[in-house]
Amino acid sequence: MPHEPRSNARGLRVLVLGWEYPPSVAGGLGAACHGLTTALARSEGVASVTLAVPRVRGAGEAVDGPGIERIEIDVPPARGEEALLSPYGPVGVAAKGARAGASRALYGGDLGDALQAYAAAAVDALDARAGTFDVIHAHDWMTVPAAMQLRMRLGAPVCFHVHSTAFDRAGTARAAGPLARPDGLAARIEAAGVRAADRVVAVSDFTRGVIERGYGVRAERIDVVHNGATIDEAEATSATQASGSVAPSSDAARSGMLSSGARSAAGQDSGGQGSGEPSTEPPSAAASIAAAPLSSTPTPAPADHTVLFVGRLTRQKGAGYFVRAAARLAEQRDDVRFVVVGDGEDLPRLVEEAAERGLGSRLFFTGSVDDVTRDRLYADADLYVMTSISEPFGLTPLEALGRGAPAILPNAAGVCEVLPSAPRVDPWDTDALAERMGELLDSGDERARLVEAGRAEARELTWDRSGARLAGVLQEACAP
Amino acid sequence: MTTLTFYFQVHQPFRVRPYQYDEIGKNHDFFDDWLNEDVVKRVTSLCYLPMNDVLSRAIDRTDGAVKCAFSISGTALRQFELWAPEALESFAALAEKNDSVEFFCETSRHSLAALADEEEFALQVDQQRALLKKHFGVTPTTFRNTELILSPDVARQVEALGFDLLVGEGADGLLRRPHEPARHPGQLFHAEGVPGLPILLRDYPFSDDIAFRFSNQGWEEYPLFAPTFLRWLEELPEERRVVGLFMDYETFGEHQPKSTGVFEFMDEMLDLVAAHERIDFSCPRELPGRLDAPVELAFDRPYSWADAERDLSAWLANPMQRSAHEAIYELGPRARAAGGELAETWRDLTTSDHVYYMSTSADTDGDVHEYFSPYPSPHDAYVTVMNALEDLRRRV
Repeated sequence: MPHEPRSNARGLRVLVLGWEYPPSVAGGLGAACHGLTTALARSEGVASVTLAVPRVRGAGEAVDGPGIERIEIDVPPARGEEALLSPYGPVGVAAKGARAGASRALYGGDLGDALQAYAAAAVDALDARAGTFDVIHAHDWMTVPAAMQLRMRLGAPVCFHVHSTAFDRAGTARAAGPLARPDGLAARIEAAGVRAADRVVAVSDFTRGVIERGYGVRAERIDVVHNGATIDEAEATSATQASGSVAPSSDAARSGMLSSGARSAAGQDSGGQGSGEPSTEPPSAAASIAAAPLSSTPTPAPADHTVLFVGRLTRQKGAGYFVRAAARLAEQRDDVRFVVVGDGEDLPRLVEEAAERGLGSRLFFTGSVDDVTRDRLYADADLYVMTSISEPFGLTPLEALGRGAPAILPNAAGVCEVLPSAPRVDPWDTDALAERMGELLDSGDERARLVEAGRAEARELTWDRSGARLAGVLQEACAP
Repeated sequence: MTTLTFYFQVHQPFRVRPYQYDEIGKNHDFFDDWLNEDVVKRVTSLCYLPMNDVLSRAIDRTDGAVKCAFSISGTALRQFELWAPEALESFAALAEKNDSVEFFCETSRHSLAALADEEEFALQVDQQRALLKKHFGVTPTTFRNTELILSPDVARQVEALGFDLLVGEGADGLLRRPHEPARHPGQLFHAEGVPGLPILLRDYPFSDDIAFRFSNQGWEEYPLFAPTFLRWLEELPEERRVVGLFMDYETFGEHQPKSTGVFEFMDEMLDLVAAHERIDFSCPRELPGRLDAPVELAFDRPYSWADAERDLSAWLANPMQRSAHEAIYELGPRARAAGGELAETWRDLTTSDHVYYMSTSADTDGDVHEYFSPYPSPHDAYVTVMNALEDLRRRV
């Protein structure tokens, strides 16, 4: 639906209600809100952006771009385990360190109370400013109670930006608890939000369809604004060239056995002999003391193909389909290695399934990894496979393309709309998925072509484009 | 006359540190030297040195009437060399009390090779013989297979390697067979089809009184004192000629801490037996000459001394364990062909503890597995070992 930006002499004054926002970022929502809000502030026809976000203690220094006024709202600190409600899942699947802290603070056990507190405090903080905002832009269901109360106080229309729906998140229901169930609090707030908002923005046509069918909202009330993506294009490195750092670099390695990593690093410093005693005697089998060859000479990976999965290991992400398709392909050929990156409630079950399907020496689990490691894994991969059952947008295929790995996408993902060149499958058809993987692994030319085409499409996905489009939608919301 | 045979198992594995997929092919140093050093030093000071001292003094003051046997895995011996030479010296001093102390042979890696790779089994036995010769100057004649895993096939392999006695678990499933009168473990046996190799079985009730129940305050016999234990032995019927008291050596001071009084218990018990008229100690190697001819044992499956099932399920029950076990032994021929350090590294991955850590048994034995495991979960153990194996696979 085309939008004619309404001519407005002074420009739009936008109140943005955010929940997860830098510096407290638990997952992709924070990055998306940040990208949209900063681009919005730069957009033509926007006079001012005021950002109201929860104050997260210890999150670090807030740095906002020009033209953004930040109001921090005090909310009670959450207790208990984090509920897995973060709409995009953690960026790059890592939920450790600062991110885990932000995740607990923002999606902790008392989320319902926190939302009400956020709403009340936001009203207190903004009550006196009636008439100074033209439109309220509310990100995801967490800000809906605040948006609805502020609409009445401030007399400004609400544009509700949906980053994910309860239907997508249902895959995480077991870990997230009753709050995240399709009939739980989140879903009820979300349903009320999409019905009551003056306009609804969906992150994809796919999500627009979910809102339309799931909540009975007429399609013409929903606009689609695709997220931007700043993809970092790196030269593709083949698996044999990638040697990189030898020190354990993942979070898991550091938190697991720090001392061991420290020792091996020390061994490398002293000339690559490692921590053992260099053997001075001829190797007699019984007397061999230092059995472990401790040198750190990089050993080239065999000339195999690597197929990668990256995502939180929940039902929503469909890693089980990846394992089953891997088993299928592994029956047909032995030159493919599979790597599953990420952690989550399904990890133990997936590990057992891989073992049971005879993938012990073929499929590897990395657990959570840091961004540097993740990027290296993308670069080492010949093919990236996304198997989500329901994905509002889905950033990982863009990350993979950035590092030179073409992606197979699931039909039910918003990212398909911005990467029309990418091959698509229904992930539950694991035979077809295996066949598609096999075909692409056999054709280096086709993979190179897909990377070229995908990167060209991804370059169009600038945040400024998203910001301009969003500004148009907000203008529309203000139209009488 | 009833004779007691103590056999103490000494073992430390080379545990694998959390080894990430990302390190495969780049960092070949996947054993957890810091943890392994820490454990072997701790157990040396808590158990090996003080218990060796208890035994050594008891042997001396009873003029050798106190007797016992050890099986020390090759991986433990190597860890002593690396990190706890005082433990090695202490065992070597015991070895000099030749008539009172026997050393068993086992596989050099405390491995499951007897189940998976007959050639490798023989090679690891040779390695262990060489280690025992080198460190203690002894030539073992009794064999102990990893975790007392026993079947006619194991017995056949052990006999072919020239041993005179094999030890096993006195499991109910072996001794109490349907439609047959129950048999007692106080005699020698042989496996069906292997008449030439006598088998001495563990008496698990007596062994576990010391190894497991000793400090259990919920046990009706708690606290156990040496005279009580001796009275139970005195009450045994005449035909129970031998009582095999087999246990982890780490029982003393590690599983049962010093504060439980386990050292004092042993001190007194050894003296009471040494002075007893109808009960004495034997080294296992003496038994074939002392006891009646072996009785045949029928096997319905392999037996071991682990978990309540006394079968192989502690190592080979779930898909992860079977997957890892198969992957490890699949690499054997290539590792041996590569030879040298690569083969020895591969052998360190054959240690049974690696698959033991992958056990998912949820009952009380799960707690035992967890007690020993350096990993947060069986799945971590599996993923880690498969990563290490992949690194090795790319190098052999």
